[in-house]
Amino acid sequence: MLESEVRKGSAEVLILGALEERARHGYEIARFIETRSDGAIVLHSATLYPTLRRLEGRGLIRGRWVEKAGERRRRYYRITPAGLKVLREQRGSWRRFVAALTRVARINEA
Amino acid sequence: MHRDEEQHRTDPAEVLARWRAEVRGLLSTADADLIEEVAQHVTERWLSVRAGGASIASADEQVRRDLERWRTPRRLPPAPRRGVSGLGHGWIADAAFAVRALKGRPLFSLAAVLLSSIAVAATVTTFAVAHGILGKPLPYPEAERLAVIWQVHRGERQQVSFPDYADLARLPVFDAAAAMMGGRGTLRVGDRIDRVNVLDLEAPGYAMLGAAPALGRLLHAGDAGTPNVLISHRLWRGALQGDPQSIGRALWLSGRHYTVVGVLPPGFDFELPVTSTLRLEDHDLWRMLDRSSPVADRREIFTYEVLVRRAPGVSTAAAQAAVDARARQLAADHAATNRERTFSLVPLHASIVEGARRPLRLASVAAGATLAIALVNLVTLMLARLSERRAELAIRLALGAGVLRLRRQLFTENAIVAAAGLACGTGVAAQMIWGLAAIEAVHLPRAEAIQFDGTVWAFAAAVALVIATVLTLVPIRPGDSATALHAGGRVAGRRGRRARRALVAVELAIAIALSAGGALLGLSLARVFSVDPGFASAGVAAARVSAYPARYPGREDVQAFFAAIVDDLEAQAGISRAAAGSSLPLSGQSTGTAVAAEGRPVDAASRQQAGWQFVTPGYFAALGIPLRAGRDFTPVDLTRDGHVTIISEDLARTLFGSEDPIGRRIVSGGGDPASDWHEVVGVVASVRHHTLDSAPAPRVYDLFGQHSGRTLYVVATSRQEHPGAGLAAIRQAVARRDPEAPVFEAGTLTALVTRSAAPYRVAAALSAGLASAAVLLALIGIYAVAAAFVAERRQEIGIRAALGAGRGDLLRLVFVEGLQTAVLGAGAGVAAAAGVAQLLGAQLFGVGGADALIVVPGVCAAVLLAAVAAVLPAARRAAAADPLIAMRAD
Repeated sequence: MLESEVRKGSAEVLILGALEERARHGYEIARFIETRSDGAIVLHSATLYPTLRRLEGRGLIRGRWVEKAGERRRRYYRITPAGLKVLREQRGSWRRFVAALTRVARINEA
Repeated sequence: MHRDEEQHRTDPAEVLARWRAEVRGLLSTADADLIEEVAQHVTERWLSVRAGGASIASADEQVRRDLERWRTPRRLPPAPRRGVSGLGHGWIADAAFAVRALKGRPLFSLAAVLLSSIAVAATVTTFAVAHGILGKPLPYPEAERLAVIWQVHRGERQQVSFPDYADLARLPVFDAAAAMMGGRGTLRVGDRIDRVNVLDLEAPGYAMLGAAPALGRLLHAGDAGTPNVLISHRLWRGALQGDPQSIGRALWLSGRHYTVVGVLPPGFDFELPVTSTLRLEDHDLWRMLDRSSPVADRREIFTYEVLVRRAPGVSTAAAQAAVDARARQLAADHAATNRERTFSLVPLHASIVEGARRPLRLASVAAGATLAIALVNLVTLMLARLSERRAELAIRLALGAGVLRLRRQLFTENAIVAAAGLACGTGVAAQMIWGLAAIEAVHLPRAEAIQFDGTVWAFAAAVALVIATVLTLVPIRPGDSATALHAGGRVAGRRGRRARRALVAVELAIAIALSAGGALLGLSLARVFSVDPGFASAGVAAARVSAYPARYPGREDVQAFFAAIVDDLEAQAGISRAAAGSSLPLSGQSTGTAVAAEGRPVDAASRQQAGWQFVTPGYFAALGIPLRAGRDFTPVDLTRDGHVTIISEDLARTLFGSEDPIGRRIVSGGGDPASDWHEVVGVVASVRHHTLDSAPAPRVYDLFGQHSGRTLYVVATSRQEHPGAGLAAIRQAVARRDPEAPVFEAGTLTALVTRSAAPYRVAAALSAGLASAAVLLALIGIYAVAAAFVAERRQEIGIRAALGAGRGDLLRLVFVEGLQTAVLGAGAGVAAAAGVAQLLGAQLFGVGGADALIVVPGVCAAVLLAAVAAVLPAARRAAAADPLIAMRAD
């Protein structure tokens, strides 16, 4: 439960992060995260798409079907200003969380 | 062929089609976009795996492993977003977590439970009392048709004369009517002597009240004039020890012999407030009203209560109209007595509860205010607590717990707090109700109807639910998760802080308003005590003594009996003065008369209303009532022809203006002037006879011996101003003269004064208690806000300290924050206090607008001063901030 909640929570910030530079479609997002994390983080479709839906529902990202010449149509996601704001907040929050974890771990070692 | 097939199976379009079919089967959703996206996703992945050199089978396997994760139900996309799924799950876990969380902060939990208890106790007590008194029907058959008729004379409610009653009872708008008269008597059963209340009630009254005998029979018309009586279940169980053979037993009531013919059922009682000081209630002996009494054919004597039952289908208004018509006719037929009489029909329920309505309304306002204050405090406390828990909440939000989920958890915690408050609060409420019933001055009508029944419990549960819900709604709202994270988990952002300040301002306003109300009531109590009652109560003891007809048959015997007791008392060393009289100031014993002076119109209607009693010589001196003119009675007056009288100075002014009243003659009551002239021999100061807060009224004092009665107040003034000695002396003097003569209602005049001020004392005490609680709560609130402010700003404070801000600067930072709130609250408080003063209006005695102009700002200043003290601890903590610790906190 805790593990899945970690993933669910982190998936949001990961996805927002992946969309910060430019719009991407679902598979692209998954690849981006996998590549950037050297394969440490794999977002399964079963995690990715519900999370995308949730983020969209909260207005943090927006998805749109795009047809490019010679390609089949794909759904591209773009981060919204609200999403950017939350991303920034979550970065701080996660930073503190990680710092807290580190501090706690150190206490445990001592 | 094999290659073609493989070629075909790796064609992107073909691959997509294949996976699309598979995804559609797997996802079982109508969301076509989702199916398409996922199908594209796995296709892309399949192609990429294949491009890496994997076989078709291996690529298929990898993609299917990914898709398998969709099979777990919770992986399904949350398409219907605000579903109710999850409700009912995990409540036990929530409760366990909540208990842990509450245990983790015992002080906070204790404070929260305390606040909820206060809210529950205040509201439930008030509701239980109001519901019992006002809400429940009376326990009589057709109770809504029962009504009481009062005589109204110049706006004053009075009892009814028997002839008037008989005329009204004949009206067809009533299908039953009964006259009654309450009294007290001394009951002797064997060796036991009790003072009991006696009700003389006409036969129809027993049926109207639905009496069914527990033993024996009821009374009927044939019992009039016989010594047959009914006794209460209470008396039967007490004095008669529940003896089943009680029917036919003999009782002695005030020296007369009676026979028990029936025992009334348990709980059968009838109460009726007659005047502000006299009530019919707790009757232990029920007799048949004697219509042949000499009083029963005198229209000028009004001493009966009248119970009627409206005929079915006749409204109160219609019955009143019929009564009014009859009153007009009576005024025409009997102008001498009835010219200014009207009659008022009041539903029985309203008659019984009327005195309780206004206090209950006040109590409801106070209880509502207490609830508001407690809620405000709880919310503040909760906000401060959430601020402390920000790390926990932020992490849980970051870990993906939804706002709803967190709120459910918080609701569980709050529900536990509210439930604990419910338990403690109802316990306290039960105690308070019991305590209120025990205070004699707080007379609760229908006390037996005040119970903790289902309705009261439902109300209590509703209050608890409101508390839990309000607390859960306030801290985090939907969409606040972002705000919470933004503030580093500080749930109370700028909006929260502003709300919290507003809440404390409201709290302060309520505290100031209640304190001002309390102060005004206190002032009014002081004014009641400082009022000159017209008599001196110090050292005066009094007791009622009866001379039974069986032992003292004639007027002379009665007179000799009391004269002997007074002489005995005066001969005692510790007693400076002794006397006797038919009434005593503030005793609740009052009789009225109509007075006319010689040489003025003497017809009944133009006579002056005045209180009346008879006294022995020395009565005025014993009670310290100053003699303004003329002289006191002397024993010699009894030996001379012609009646003498002493009147109060205001009556002297009314009757004689500036002329000297001494030697003039007056007539009182229905007496024939020619034969019943009383010569005025003295004028005494006016006395507040009824209550301390009622204006002194005109009064006539006649001489005992020239007028007579069998039960008198014997008063003794002791030299050492120690009234206990006087009481013992009265008992001894009576016992020496006649060991069987009953001595009762023994007490001191000081106690009567205190009792008369009791309503003010109770109001002042209650409101003082309430106001102290409100101030305390407000101060806790201010302290909590200041503490939360400092806790939240510790980073900023640390930085300021690091940048060289001095203690003074930091103190100022906190004080400005705290006192802005206080000043805001004080402003609102002054306005609210003005409203409270207005509301209290009639409850106040001798307190006016000028007093409020002093009291309200004074109270306001005092509360503000206390607010400064409440901010101080937090401010000092801020001032002592260690920049390093403060900055490391985050």
